[in-house]
Amino acid sequence: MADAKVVAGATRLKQTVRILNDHWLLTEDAWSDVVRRRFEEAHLAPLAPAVDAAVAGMQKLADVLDKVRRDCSDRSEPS
Amino acid sequence: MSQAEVRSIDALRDFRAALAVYGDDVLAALGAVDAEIRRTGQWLSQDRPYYWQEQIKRRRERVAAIRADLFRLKLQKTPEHHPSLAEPKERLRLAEAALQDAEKRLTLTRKWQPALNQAVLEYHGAVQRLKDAASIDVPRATALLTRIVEALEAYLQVQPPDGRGAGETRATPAMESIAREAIDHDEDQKKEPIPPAPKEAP
Repeated sequence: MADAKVVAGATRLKQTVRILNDHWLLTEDAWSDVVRRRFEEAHLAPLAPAVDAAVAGMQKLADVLDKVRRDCSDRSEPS
Repeated sequence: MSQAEVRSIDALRDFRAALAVYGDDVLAALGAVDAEIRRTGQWLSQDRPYYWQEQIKRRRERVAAIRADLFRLKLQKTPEHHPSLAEPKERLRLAEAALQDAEKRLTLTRKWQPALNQAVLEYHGAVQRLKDAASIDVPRATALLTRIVEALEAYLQVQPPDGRGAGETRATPAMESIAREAIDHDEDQKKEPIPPAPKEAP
């Protein structure tokens, strides 16, 4: 099982970008011109690949942290 | 001020707020992971080596004590007296296994220290783009939206809208031009080259 706190961080990143996209879609009716498209390309489009890379990095880190805990813990040790 | 234009600006204002919250949320999520990394790193480099060294010492003493018990029991053995050795032998087996486990875990603790550092470096590489986005790009985009909203509000104060229907949601050409001007300015700022370092005096 991967590190719960790091997995929670990855989940939070995915949720927040989804919420932001929902907010952006809500502006579509009120703002739909070339400026909007340029704003989207410059400031919002780069977020999705950045989030994907971060989530993948977090998942990998979560597995490592979990393995560290399991390998270096004493099963008889009170937690 | 027509309904259409107010809705347009409100939508921008709402999105600006959502964008600012997004930036804060991302930085908070990354901060929580950083805290977890620090906690685990400290545990691995400071707590674990000491813990397992102590355990090895204690477990060695326990193995030695059981071996001594076993030796005494063997000495007590006579033709008439046959003390059972099964129970102390089992205790010795468990104590030796526990000692081996502690030795193995101390080795793993030492092995994990550089491996964890490497994993953390890779993690920082993976999140760097998002970190930059949340700490630099998102505040910049939020500031851009603020400038657009302020310019549109100022325009509407001096240029009353033409009273279009309540269902009309498109910004007027003048409003679009204001927004375009703001985004052009932002893009120009992004493209500005870094000024060269001042030349040293000969």
